[in-house]
Amino acid sequence: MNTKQLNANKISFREIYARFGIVLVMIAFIIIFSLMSPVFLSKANVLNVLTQASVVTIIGCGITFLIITGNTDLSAGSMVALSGCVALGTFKQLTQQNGWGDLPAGLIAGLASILVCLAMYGGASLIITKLKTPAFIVTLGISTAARGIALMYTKGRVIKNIGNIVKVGQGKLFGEIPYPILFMIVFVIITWFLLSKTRFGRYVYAVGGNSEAAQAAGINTDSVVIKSFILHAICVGIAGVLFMARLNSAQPSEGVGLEFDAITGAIIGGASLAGGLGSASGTVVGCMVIAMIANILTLKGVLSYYQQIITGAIIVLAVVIDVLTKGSKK
Amino acid sequence: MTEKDTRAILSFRGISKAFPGVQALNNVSFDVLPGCVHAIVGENGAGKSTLLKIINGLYKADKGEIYLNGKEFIAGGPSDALKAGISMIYQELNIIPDMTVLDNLYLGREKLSKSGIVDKKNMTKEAQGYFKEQGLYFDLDEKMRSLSIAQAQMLEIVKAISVNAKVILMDEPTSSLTENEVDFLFNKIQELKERGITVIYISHKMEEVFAISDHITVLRDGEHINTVPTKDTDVSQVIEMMVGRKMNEVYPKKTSTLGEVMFEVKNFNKKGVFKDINFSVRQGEILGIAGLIGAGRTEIARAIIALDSKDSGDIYIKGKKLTINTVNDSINHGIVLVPEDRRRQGLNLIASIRDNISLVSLKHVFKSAVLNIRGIEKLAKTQSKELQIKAPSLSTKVEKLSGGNQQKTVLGKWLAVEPAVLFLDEPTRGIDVGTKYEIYKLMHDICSQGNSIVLIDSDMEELIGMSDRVIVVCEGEIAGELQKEEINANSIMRLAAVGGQNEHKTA
Repeated sequence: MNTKQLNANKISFREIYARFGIVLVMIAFIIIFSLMSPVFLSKANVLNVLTQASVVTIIGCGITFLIITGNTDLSAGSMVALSGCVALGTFKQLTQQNGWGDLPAGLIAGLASILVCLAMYGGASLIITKLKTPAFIVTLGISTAARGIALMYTKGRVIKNIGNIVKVGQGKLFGEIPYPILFMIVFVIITWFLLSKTRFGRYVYAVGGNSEAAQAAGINTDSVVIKSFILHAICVGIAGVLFMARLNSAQPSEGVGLEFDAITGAIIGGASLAGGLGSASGTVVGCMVIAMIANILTLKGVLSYYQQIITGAIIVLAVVIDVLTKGSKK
Repeated sequence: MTEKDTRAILSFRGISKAFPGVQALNNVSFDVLPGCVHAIVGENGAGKSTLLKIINGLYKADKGEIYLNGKEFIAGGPSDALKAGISMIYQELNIIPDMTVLDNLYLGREKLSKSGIVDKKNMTKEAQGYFKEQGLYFDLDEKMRSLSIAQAQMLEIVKAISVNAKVILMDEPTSSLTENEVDFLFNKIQELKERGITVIYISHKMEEVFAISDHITVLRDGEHINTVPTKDTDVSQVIEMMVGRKMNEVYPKKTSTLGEVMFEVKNFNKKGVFKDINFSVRQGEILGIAGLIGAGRTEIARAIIALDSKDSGDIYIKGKKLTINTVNDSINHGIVLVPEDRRRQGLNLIASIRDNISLVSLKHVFKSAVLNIRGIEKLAKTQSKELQIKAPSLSTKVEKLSGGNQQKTVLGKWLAVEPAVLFLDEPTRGIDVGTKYEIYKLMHDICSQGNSIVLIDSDMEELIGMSDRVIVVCEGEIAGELQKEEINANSIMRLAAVGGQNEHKTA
C-alpha cells in the first residue's frame, strides 16, 4: 500500500511536462532569444510578436475546441483567405459604391465573413457527425473548395484600395496597442471561459475523452461537435478580417499553412490529437512559442527557406512530444 | 495425476493458468480421443476459452503439459499450432473485410512464385479444389465484407481443413448462426469426423452439445470436473456438474422489505435482438437478470434507457406511463444504467475523478450553464467519501485508479443524480473481493431507501446471492422467472441454456 502511494505521488517527467512544460520552454526561449538579440525584448518587438501571433492564436482558439473533441480543421488557411476577401470586398462595395459609413459597413463586412465561415464549417460539421466522416478528410476537401471560391470571388485578382477597414488590422488603441492584439485577448478569454467555466466546456472534454461514455451519460455528442465547429467558424471569420486588413488588400492566395501553425500551437500547448486534452492557456503559449521562433529567425536574418525547414521540424517534434507524454489512446 | 490414455491425440496434464485476480485454470487433466467431437462446457468464466487459447499458443500455461500424439507439445503461437496440425476457429471471426475471399484464405501463408511474387493462379487453383471437395461455392474475388457471417464461418472451416489440420478447435462457432446454418455446420463437422479429424467444440448450448459431441468435458471455476461419453449422460447431469458448488457466505444480509411496484417494462421488442420483454421491479427489490453472454440482457437495458433504439415497448414508474426518447429523458425520470464495460462506456479515463463523478450532475443536479465550481467540488467529495474511493486527490486521473476504484467512480457518477431505478450491468466484473463486498452493501443501502435495482450479472453465484427475484433471458426472450426460494444455479442454467419452452415458470 505504501509503495503504491509513493508511486502515485512521484511526479514523472511526463506529468511535469504535461502541466508546466510549455511554460518552462517559453521562459527558456525568452531568455535565450534575448541573449541572442538585444532587440528581442524591446517594446516594439514584443508588440510585433504579439501582433504576428494574434491571427494564428485566434484560429488556435477555435481549433482547440475541435482538437479536444477529437476533431481537427485543415482548412483554416483557405477559409481565412475566403472570409477575408469576402469581408474586404463587401466593405469596399458598401463604402465606395453604396455610400455607407465606415462603421456600419465594417460591421456588415465582419458579419459576412463570419456567415461564410458558418456556412462552410456548419456543413462540414453535419457531414462529420451525421455521416461519421473523419474531420481530417472533410476539412481537407473544404480547404481546396474554399481556396477555389476565394479565387472565384476575387476573379483571381487582389482587391486593393480597401478603404478604412485597414485600420482594424493596422490601427492601434491609444496609438500604442495594435487592434489585432485586443481581438486576440478577447477570444482567448472567451475560449478560456467556455472551456473551463461552463457545462458546455466539460462536455467538450467528455466527448473527446470517451465519446461512448459521454453518450451513455446522456450527452448529445453530435451537438457538442457541431457547436465546437460553430465557435471555430466565428474565430476563423474574425481572423480572416484581421489577416487581410493587416495586408491592406484582399489576397485570395494568402494564408497558406495558417491551420498548421494553429494546430501546432495547440499541440505544443498540451492538446492531444487523440482528443480529450487541451486548454486555452496552453494554446496561447504554444502559439507564442511559434511566433517567437519565427521572430528570432527573422531578427537573425535567417532566410525564409530555412525558416520553413525549422518550422517543419518543430511541428514533427511537437507531435513526437505529444505521443511520448500522453501516449496514444487505445 | 491420472494415467494417460495411449490412444489420445491430445492429453492435458495439470494445466494451470492464472490472470491477475483470477485462477482461470487449475490443474486440468483430461484426454481427447482422435476422430471424435469433444465438447467442453461450463459457465461463463469456467476457463473454456482460456484452455483453447493455451492449446493454440495464444496463452502460455503457468504449469502443466499438453501431449500431442503422445509427445509433449508447446505452441509458441498460433503459427506453431498450425504447423503441428492444430487449427482454431475463433468466436469472433478474424477476417479482413476489405480483402478478397482468396486473400483471406491464404493470409499469412501466401504462395509465392519463384521470383517472389504472390502466385494468384496457383492459389486460385488450390482453393477451387478445396471448395469443390467441400461442396461449397465461393467467388474468390469477392470482398469478405459482402459475405454473411455464416459464409465467413464456412470459409474459416475450409481454411482450417486446407492446412491439413488434425485437430480443429471451435469456440462457440454457432453464436451468430441461424438454425439452417447450424445444420450445415453440423454436417460439416460430421464429415470432418469421418475423415478422422478431431474437433474440440466449446458451446453453452446443451442442445448442440448433445447433438454433435462424443465426449463432454465439464469445467467449473477453472477446475476439471469430469469427462464423460455423451451417450452415458444427460442434460440434467451435465448442468449439475457445471454449477454444483457450495455457496459461500460472501453476501451481506439484506434487511429492506419490498414495497409497491416501482418500475414496469411492457412489451419491449426489437427485431432480431429481443422479443416480448415484460417485467416489473418493486421498491427495495433487486431483480436479477440471468442469461448467457449474448442472450440480449445488456441490449434490453440499453434500449430501456434509450441509449439504443427499440421497435416498441412502454415504461411505467409507479403505474404512470413515461415518454423516454433520449438518455436524458430516462435520467430525468430517475432511471439510469451503469454500463458493463467501465473503461469503454463508463469513464473518461484521461479526466479527473471530479470531472467523471460530476459529468451527469452538470445538467441534472446543477442545471446552470456556467459551472457551479463549489457545488461540483462538494458533490464529488460527498460521493467519493461515501463510496470510499481511494485516491491521492479528486484531481487524480481515473486511468491511474484500480479497477475497483474506477468502478466506484462510475457508481458515484450515477448515484449523484439519486436514481429511483438503477440498472447495474456486471457491476463487479474484474474487481477484488473486498470492493465487491462494499458494492453489495451499497446495493442494499440503495434498496433500503426505497429504490429499485435491476442486476445484470454473469457471475451466477453473485446473482443468486444478491437477487430477490430472477428473470432468465434466453436468446432475446424471457425464458422464465424464479422467486427467491426457487433461485438456484440449476434452474437458472436450465432456463438459460435450454430456454423456457418445456418448463415455463411464472409466479
